[in-house]
Amino acid sequence: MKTFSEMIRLLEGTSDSIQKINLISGYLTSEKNDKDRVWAIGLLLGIRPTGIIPVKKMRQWCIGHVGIPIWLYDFSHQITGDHAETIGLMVASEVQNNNLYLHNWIEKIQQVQKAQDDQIRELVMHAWSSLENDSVYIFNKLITGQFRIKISKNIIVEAVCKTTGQDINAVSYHLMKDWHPDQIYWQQLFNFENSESRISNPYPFSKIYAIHSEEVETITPEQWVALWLWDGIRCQLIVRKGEIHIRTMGEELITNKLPEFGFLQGGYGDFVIEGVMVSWIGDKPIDSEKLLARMSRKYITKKVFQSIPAVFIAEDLLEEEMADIRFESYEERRSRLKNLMARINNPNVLLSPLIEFNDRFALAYHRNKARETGAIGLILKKKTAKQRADIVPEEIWEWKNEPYTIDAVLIYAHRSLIRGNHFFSDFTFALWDGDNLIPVAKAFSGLGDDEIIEISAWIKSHKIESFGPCGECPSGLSIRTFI
Amino acid sequence: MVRFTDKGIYCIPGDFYIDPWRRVDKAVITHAHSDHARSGHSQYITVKESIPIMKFRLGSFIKVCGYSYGESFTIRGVKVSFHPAGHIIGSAQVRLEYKGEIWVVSGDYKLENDGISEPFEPVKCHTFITESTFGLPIFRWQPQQNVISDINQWWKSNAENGIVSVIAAYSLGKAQRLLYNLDLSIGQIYTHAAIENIHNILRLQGYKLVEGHISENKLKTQNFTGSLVLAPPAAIGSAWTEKFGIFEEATVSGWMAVKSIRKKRNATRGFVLSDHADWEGLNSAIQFTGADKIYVTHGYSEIYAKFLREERYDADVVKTEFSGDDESGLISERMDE
Repeated sequence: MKTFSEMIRLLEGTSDSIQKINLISGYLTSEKNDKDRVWAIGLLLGIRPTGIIPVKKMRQWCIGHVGIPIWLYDFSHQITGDHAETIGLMVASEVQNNNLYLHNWIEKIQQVQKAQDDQIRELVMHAWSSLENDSVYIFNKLITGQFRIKISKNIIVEAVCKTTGQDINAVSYHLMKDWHPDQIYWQQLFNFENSESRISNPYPFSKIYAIHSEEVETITPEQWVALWLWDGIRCQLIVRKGEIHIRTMGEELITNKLPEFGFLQGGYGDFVIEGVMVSWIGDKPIDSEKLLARMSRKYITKKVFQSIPAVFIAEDLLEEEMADIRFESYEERRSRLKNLMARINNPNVLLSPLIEFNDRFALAYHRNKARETGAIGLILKKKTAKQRADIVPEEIWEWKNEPYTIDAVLIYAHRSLIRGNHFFSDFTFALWDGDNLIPVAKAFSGLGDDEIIEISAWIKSHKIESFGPCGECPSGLSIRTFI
Repeated sequence: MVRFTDKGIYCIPGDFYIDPWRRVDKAVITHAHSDHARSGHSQYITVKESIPIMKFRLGSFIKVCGYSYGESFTIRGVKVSFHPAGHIIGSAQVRLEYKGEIWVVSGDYKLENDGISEPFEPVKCHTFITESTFGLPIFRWQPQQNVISDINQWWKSNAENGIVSVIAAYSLGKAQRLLYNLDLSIGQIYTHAAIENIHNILRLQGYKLVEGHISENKLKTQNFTGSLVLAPPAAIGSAWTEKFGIFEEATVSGWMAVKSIRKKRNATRGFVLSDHADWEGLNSAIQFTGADKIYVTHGYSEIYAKFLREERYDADVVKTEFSGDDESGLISERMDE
């Protein structure tokens, strides 16, 4: 447990990718327990153990355990901005006599769902009194269901490659399988020979980075193609051995939510296409929220089917007749895709059209027109681009539309969780509805340090009343930010 | 007997100030850190052990008079004595006695014996003025030996991988504490000139501090692989550290306990070690004094005073320059000096 907690502590303290890779691979090398290693990768990838205790309960137990008033707990929490950490710091003991592994703790946490309150409390007290503070922190995060760490999949993949010496594309591909740390052994996870479950596996999705304005100048029609950037669910249509699977970028299998595509099974051969799932009415897609809402429904009525029809916009062909063609040029894949689409010829599967342009001015013109087409910008792809899992950002870009602006009222400013407690950096905005202010958005980013310092100074100097940790300010500040 | 003024803590019958931040005639100084020992006073009174460093920092011309720990002397009828505060070498609590009433001004202090500073001694009093830099229950220190062994381990593993270990440590306090306690068998410890200057003075006072000065010349030619470098925080990240080749930085401070602060200071590797009392240290120090009246300063004053009041102490806040942003009880982070 301690090796894992230490790794997380260091991971959370760095923004350097190389260092992150070294930390993860250092952990995977030094940790000899395979079950722990599998769980560690699972946790880093965002798999969480079941069994959740509300934070409120933990807080109550903590103040009882430490013997402090609740306001003192709450103030301390403001400093750390994190309940799991606050508790970890408050309860940590000098006695560290615990030899349980990470996966042992996770097993215990997963039994919490069926346990009585007394038993849960006993488990929590056991953890608090026998783990050192970083591990208490991890335990608290896990048992409250709040363990999340911002690590890109690439970093995890690269760390695994560094540790196991395997091929980056293969590791990336296999980590995206349907797997759960409880049901798999380390050897199985990385045993690439055994691929009976390959049939529904997606390829790593193309990485699309926002283009910088100076790079727009390098885009020429000779070397590049432009496509619309559609707002929808990026996914892969996977047809193998006559069976269809649809996977989202978040690796969710959504085939059963989209019966419209059942017809692709048989008749068109095997293929894997990457594209965007949208809901299309008339000549353009409708608000993507509607499709998301439809996907979250358990049962889909006929009416919903008709009012929110799902349409897949195909962008790229990755596999044809079980042959991986990702390393061919985009031009080549595009022409194969075109032929395939001609064979399919169905209104539920569209080929994302190429946008004609002569120079970057024409490109800028199309970008401004994107909204009329129902798109949110442009995708620029190099004709020679391969589809790869490792980072080659210079071959594919997105060029989004300028954001909309609204005038909103800043109703709450919160002290920053990241910049420490001197500054107000988290804001809640509201809009007027008659005489009422309705909160509409919370923003955690978008302002630079200078602006945050300025706003914080304004808030501090204009505070007219304090209620404990809260204060009230008059109106009078105007800021513009992008969310 | 004592009044809190805009110049600092003022002893009325004795007509002197303790750690004043504006110019005064007579200043009693608890220790040589710059937020306590300021320049410009006409006369300084402090612990003998603290004088050489104070002269180094404030100028050799200052008029200063020193006493031993426990030795009492009288200023206009007020009996004054210094007692070890365990914060850094030469740090003291100030005991004031006048007409049977006893006050103690803690200065900065920690309870744990760090092996180099004169260890903290509790002093009985009626009124105790305590610091509260880490006056929240989230600040609880591990025993020094645990932290030192973590640092040794980090250094050792760096040394094995051919990496130079660089530690950001305040030149007065943390640097000596580390140099005294780290395992010198792992490798060589080098020190930044700012630290070496302090060490030169302390060596004359009899402290056995290993020499590790990095001259300009050495910086260019020496291979530092496997060694540990102590440098003041300001030197870290400057061109100076780049000369070491492949290195890893660590910060040693009580603030390293908190994730958001580590993040803000860009400290990936933070060891939690402080020269201030932690939550339990503050509480037991107060208990030791037997005082009924507690004044809280330097740190989470409002919050800690409120806690003490709920614990049935008569507790109030001393406003100082350093708790300027204290309106809502949230103070700016103090230096962990």
